[in-house]
Amino acid sequence: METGINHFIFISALLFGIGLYVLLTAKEAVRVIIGLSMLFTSSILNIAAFAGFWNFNPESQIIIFVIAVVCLLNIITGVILFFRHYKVYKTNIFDEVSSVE
Amino acid sequence: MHDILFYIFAAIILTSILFIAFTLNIKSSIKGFAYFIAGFSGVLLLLNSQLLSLIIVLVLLTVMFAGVLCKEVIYKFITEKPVRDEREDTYFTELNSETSQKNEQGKPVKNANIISLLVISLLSGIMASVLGAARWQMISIEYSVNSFGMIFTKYLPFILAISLLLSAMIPVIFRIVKLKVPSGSEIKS
Repeated sequence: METGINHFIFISALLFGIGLYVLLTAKEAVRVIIGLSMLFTSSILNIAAFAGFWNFNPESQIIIFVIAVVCLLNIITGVILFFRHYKVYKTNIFDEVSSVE
Repeated sequence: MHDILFYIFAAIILTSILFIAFTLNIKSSIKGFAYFIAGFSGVLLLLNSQLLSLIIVLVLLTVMFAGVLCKEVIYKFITEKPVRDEREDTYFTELNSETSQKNEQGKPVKNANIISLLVISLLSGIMASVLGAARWQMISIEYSVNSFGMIFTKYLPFILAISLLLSAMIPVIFRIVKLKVPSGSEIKS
């Protein structure tokens, strides 16, 4: 069976759904970052699929680059914020913060 | 050949994201994320985005090496346990131990929430079925056509702006890391 754009869109949709699930049910800081980056990668995969199937154009690559950089900055900022949070509260589990406070 | 590769990479991606979603061990989910990024870069390679795939692999390797270099700090942050075992004086003795949350009875807390799982699987199922059932124009990927040269000539300002953004973030990161924060006891008082 020849792979078409449908296959890539299907993978992207599954990635979005499971990323959203990971993000919503996350109790630890690390899982939040992983879930967010999964959402970003699903959008990157969508754009890359459409760009790949409708001839190679550099504009789509630039858009993907911008999204990838924003995703990277998001991960870095998240890690730093959660790391500072851990230094103060000595925990990175969200449910325990209220008991600390 | 490309079809078989696609199914292999898709299997890697799906297995790793399901593993991330349902594992209780945080360290295992990070390992699953590394496998997911590897499969994702393979899919991008199939979609004729070789440059982005290469960048993702390089970033992954850099993050892995950075993680290994400052493993003591990161390990404690992720698992909330000291990396060095005082009794045996060995690193990562708790590598295979469960680092998940435990409830009052000492049983691990399940991550799966059935209502959110149902709602999100319904949402992703609708998205996949609607978009996948559409009659897209079936065009095979032309691997001989790519214009990476244009990215570094015509669209060079975008690359420079992205590099500037990244380079501006580095001093900000160091600044935030070096900021003094009050400890938990100081906040309470």
